[in-house]
Amino acid sequence: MEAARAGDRDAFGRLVEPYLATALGAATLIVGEESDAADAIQDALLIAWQRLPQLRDATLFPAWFRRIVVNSAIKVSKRRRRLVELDMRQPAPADQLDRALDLRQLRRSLSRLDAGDRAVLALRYYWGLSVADAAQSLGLREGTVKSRTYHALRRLRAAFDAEDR
Amino acid sequence: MKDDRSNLTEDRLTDGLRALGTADPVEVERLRRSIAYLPDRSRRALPAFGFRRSVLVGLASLVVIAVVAAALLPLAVHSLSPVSSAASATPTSVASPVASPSASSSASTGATPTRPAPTPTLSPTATVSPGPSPTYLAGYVAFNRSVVWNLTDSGLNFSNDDGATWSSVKLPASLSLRSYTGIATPQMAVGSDGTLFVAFGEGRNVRLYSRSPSGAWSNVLLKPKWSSDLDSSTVPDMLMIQSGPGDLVAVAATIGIGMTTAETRLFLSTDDGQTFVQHVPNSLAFEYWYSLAFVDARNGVLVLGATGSYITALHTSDGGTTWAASKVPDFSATYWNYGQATAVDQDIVLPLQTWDYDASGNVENDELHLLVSHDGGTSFEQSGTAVPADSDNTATFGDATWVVAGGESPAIYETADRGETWTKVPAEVWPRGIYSIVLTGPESAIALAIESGCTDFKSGCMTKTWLVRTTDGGHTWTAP
Repeated sequence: MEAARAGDRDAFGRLVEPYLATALGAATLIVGEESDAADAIQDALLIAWQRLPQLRDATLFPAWFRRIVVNSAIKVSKRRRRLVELDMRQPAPADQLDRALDLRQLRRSLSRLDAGDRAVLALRYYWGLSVADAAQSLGLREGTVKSRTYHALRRLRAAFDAEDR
Repeated sequence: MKDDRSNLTEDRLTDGLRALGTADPVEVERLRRSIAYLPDRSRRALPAFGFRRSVLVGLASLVVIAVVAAALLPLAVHSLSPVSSAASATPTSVASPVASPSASSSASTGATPTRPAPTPTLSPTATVSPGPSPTYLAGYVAFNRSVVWNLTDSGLNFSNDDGATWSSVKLPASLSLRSYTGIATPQMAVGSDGTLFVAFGEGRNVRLYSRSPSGAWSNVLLKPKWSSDLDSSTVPDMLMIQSGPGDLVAVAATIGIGMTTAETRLFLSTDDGQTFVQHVPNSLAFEYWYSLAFVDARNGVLVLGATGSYITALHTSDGGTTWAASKVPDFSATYWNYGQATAVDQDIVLPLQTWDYDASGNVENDELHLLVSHDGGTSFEQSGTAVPADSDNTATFGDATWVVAGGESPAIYETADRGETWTKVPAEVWPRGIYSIVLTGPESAIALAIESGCTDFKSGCMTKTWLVRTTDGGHTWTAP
């Protein structure tokens, strides 16, 4: 951490590497498309690199970086007025067809939410964070996160169930 | 949180999100490698406001801006033969490894992919090109921050690693590159969401193909309302595409370049190219449109010129039907030229190059000024100070603008504060021949460079076009 703070890129790389895949996955859920998500992560990396000297407590790095990632992803998403459905990665084998359809339904439902909704859902159900940790990542009070999660989930479920009909 | 009436249980949601959020290892690796190119903290001595604004404004165009090289590419394109012949001697040429559309389908069944499929947004219909990686490019190039597209007469290819490796993309069945033999060269642009737009002349009309990030193709035929007194055999000479901001797409077609009857028609879309409204500009007897920059569906600037007259900046506030001259500052220089107009958030940045001639006819007092409009192009004011550059080859990203100067003292001039302060990056450390540059961040850029020359008088001539990229403010450049 000290080396990264002093300007060592390799050290910064080692510091951030364990969180990259998850950060990209979460950003993809928020932004809706992986190449845009990668842009968001690059922005997040730049911001984290630039501001690392301001982070006094090394133990806070994961939450601090997560917050930067979420903010970058929301910013990228808001710049794009049209939501793009998440991509299916690969064609599913026949025995996983139900699951593939399930994911497709979820993906379409997510694309109907706004970036804020998707961010709170990503933090709670993808990252698996507690309300307190999600609040820290979003810079919101816990009560706000609770109500946002409730409403986001309700909207998502409505969209998901509508796909069933 | 329970909602027993919904089929989406928390377990199902968690499981689904984790599946959908599984990151592509190739992209993760790419990001990991990008860390090595993070800019030096000490170099970025920008005030917090400047940095924040760069990031915020920049996000508008992060994934945006396409280099439409074809307008400047006739030279490179028409020298396709020498490139091909020169390239055939080298296994790294784009000419041989890039598969033709028909070859690509056979490659998909017969060839073993040499690397994992790139980002899934680009790869659903792609096949990895067989053979060595290409170095030099022919044809048309468009790129945004994460992908480079290259259209040649043998197919459409993309690269996610700045041209080191290429993958071919299956073209729609209706698109036969060989059927487009019109005068107008194809134009490409990449939208903010990664959509690729390719415009071809089709008879007197324009066919606009778009490929969504998911790989789906669609097309629309734009039928310009040309004046009836034009010869029916006249076809468009020049096409232009501007993609963004947001879902705005502008397509302009010019017919009759070189004739007094030349005219241009403008098509504007506010739904990312799905539907267009045609605008017949009033009394614009100009020959060509140099650049377009709309800040929204109504307000924009057009830079145009004509034989025998200077380049002119006009603005519209009705989407492109009526145009009037933009108000620009008075300059003492006798000669001037405008560069590429660029929409940045709600502003329009317009580079202005000025110069004079001394008594012996030598150029003197070369300067490049940045003009900025805050009112959709109605008026411009000078931003910051001028730089002594003999070029209008500029690129803008947020508050950052780079000027690529050639001539006797080639250099890149950079500003991070709209021209208040400039930094000169000397020529020794960047590849000469940059003729088209796009900023992908305040300190990063991708550019097309051309190297051409002859080993003897009119013999042994070659032209090479390739991609170069910098991530440290132009100090060092990489090439594939």
